[in-house]
Amino acid sequence: MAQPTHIGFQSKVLTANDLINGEVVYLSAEGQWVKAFANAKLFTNDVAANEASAQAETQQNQIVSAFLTNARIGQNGVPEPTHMRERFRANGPSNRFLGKQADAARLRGE
Amino acid sequence: MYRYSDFDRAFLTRRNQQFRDQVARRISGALTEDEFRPLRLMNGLYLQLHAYMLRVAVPYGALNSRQMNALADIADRWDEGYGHITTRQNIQFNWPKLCDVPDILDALAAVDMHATQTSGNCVRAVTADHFAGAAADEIADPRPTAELIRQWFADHPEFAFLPRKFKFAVTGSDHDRAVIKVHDIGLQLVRNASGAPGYRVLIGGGLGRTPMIARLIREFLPQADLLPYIEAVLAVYNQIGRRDNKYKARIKITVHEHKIETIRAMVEQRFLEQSAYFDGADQVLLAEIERNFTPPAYKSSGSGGFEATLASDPIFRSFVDTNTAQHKNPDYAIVSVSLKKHGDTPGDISSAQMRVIAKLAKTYSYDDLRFSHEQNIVLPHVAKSDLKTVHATLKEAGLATANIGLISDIIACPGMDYCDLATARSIPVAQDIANRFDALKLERDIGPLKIKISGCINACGHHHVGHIGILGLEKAGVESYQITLGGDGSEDAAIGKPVGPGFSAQAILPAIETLIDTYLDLRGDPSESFRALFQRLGMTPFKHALYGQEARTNAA
Ligand code: SF4
Repeated sequence: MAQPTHIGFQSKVLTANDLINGEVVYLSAEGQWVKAFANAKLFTNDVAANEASAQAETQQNQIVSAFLTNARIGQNGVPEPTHMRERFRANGPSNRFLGKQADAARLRGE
Repeated sequence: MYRYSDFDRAFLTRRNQQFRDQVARRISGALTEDEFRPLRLMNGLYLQLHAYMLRVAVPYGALNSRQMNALADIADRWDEGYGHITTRQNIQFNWPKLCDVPDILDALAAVDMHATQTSGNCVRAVTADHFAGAAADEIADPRPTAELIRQWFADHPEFAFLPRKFKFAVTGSDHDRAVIKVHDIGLQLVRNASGAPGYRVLIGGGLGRTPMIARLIREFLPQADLLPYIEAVLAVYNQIGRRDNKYKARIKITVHEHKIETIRAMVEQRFLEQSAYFDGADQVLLAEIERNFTPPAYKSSGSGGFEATLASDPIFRSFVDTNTAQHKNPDYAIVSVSLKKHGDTPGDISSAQMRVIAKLAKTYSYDDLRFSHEQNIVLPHVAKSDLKTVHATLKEAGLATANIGLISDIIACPGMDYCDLATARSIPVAQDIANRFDALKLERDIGPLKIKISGCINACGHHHVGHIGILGLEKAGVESYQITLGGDGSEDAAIGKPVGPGFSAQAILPAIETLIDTYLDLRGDPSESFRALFQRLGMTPFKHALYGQEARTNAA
């Protein structure tokens, strides 16, 4: 899917860990910290990305260690990670059904 | 077992109260993460990929049933019902919430445990032979020494900000089960020609980015000189260890750069000064500690039909073959409980299993159990007449896997399934290897073999000293596994060397199979171990087998 991208800019999402439970969170288009990578805001230029990043620094009582990570629009039209480390962060460990994958299953009523 | 004094308890209570306040201030936003991070690390609290991780100190891996039950309760109440035993003989909880950590620390303190000095550039938790006080080949029990070091360096103001972390390991046997040669200081309890107790002192060993085997600094250190001498080592290191470069800050680099002769001279000089400050109080303390480690009152019931059961029950027999070791009392055995059930995560243990082992330890092992650096659990003093019962109980709990020392008894660090620093996963590689050789029913034929896997160059999985080492790296965005051969973690410690280019996640299991096939083809007779064969033939046949025409296409 085509996306408006500044030339040479790899699109990104802003991610962090929740201060209280350490869970991986992403900044949404609405400015909320959300749990699903798919609901993250995709930054397509570095001005906006860096602004959001700086803004996150002021949210110390909500999140820990925010950083920008590469992302792209996947087949279902929502953002997905481009790097394997981010895929693990977005899902949970592969040896146990815990973390996000389990939460998502619970939400689906499984 | 070590005992806490009232002073220790008061100290810990105060410390936990401080941390409770610090957590509250972090949550309110009064403390920034930059301010809070060093405070939480001082209390063993890390932030990993998916959650916080609490690393609980288990001094030289030893604990009693009450402590084990407390760990089980913590796992159930504040975590996901399990814990992970590490190569530091510690236990880690992978899912605690920040707001619960003060309560967890209080629950630990209630059973004389804590999570301090499991992080930071201080003297870390001291490790020791997990068969301490039980092994038939032991010259002296290493635990009192380990405990003395632990007490001495607990919150020691001079050594709270070393150039880098500092790890001790202690063994009391010639056969080294504590991998002392890859520690910052390795101590071996010995006796000199006239029978006086003392230590062989090694320094500057370590794994990680620059693996090194420790160098001998003192052939014989009289027992009474231990603390002034190791203080001298630490003082010299504190002074000349590099603080300019994190990767050159461990004492192994200091020793390497200054040469052992120079370091030895500096240490001896400093030791003379240091000795003046010691008036024998440390030896009084050691004697006190030793009283807490007197051997249990063994019963003399004989082996109670043990031999007969052994002959008639092949499953029991195979368990005894691999999972027991010779005890100093001939009517007893040391039992290793494998946390390497084929396909499971190495080192993981459920709360239910913790309780089963706690009960067994209490009933059949004088309330003594150990976490081993090989991510297993040891019941050090089991009467042979009780072995059958212990085995049956373990079996019911899924804890009777008879594979200690075999190919599936793999050390694997958490890797990218949990660890923030990882470059690849370790656990699934271990699971695949264990499952595969279990399916092939080849384990016992292959015999003693240590595979060790790390998920990054930090080498928490000790891959350099694995007979087969596997290092997970990232190459062009995917996992790539480098194989090292020739490593060894015993008294003949050696650092393994890379056999060649790495293998993709799909190709690593076939590559291990190729290595094993090569070994089985080439060994003279079944008594020649993988390690022995490697020493005889070297890298070439393995290299050839792995990177011959066919294998090359799989190499990533
Ligand atoms: S070796 Fe690397 S990946 Fe494994 S636990 Fe240590 S730091 Fe983490």
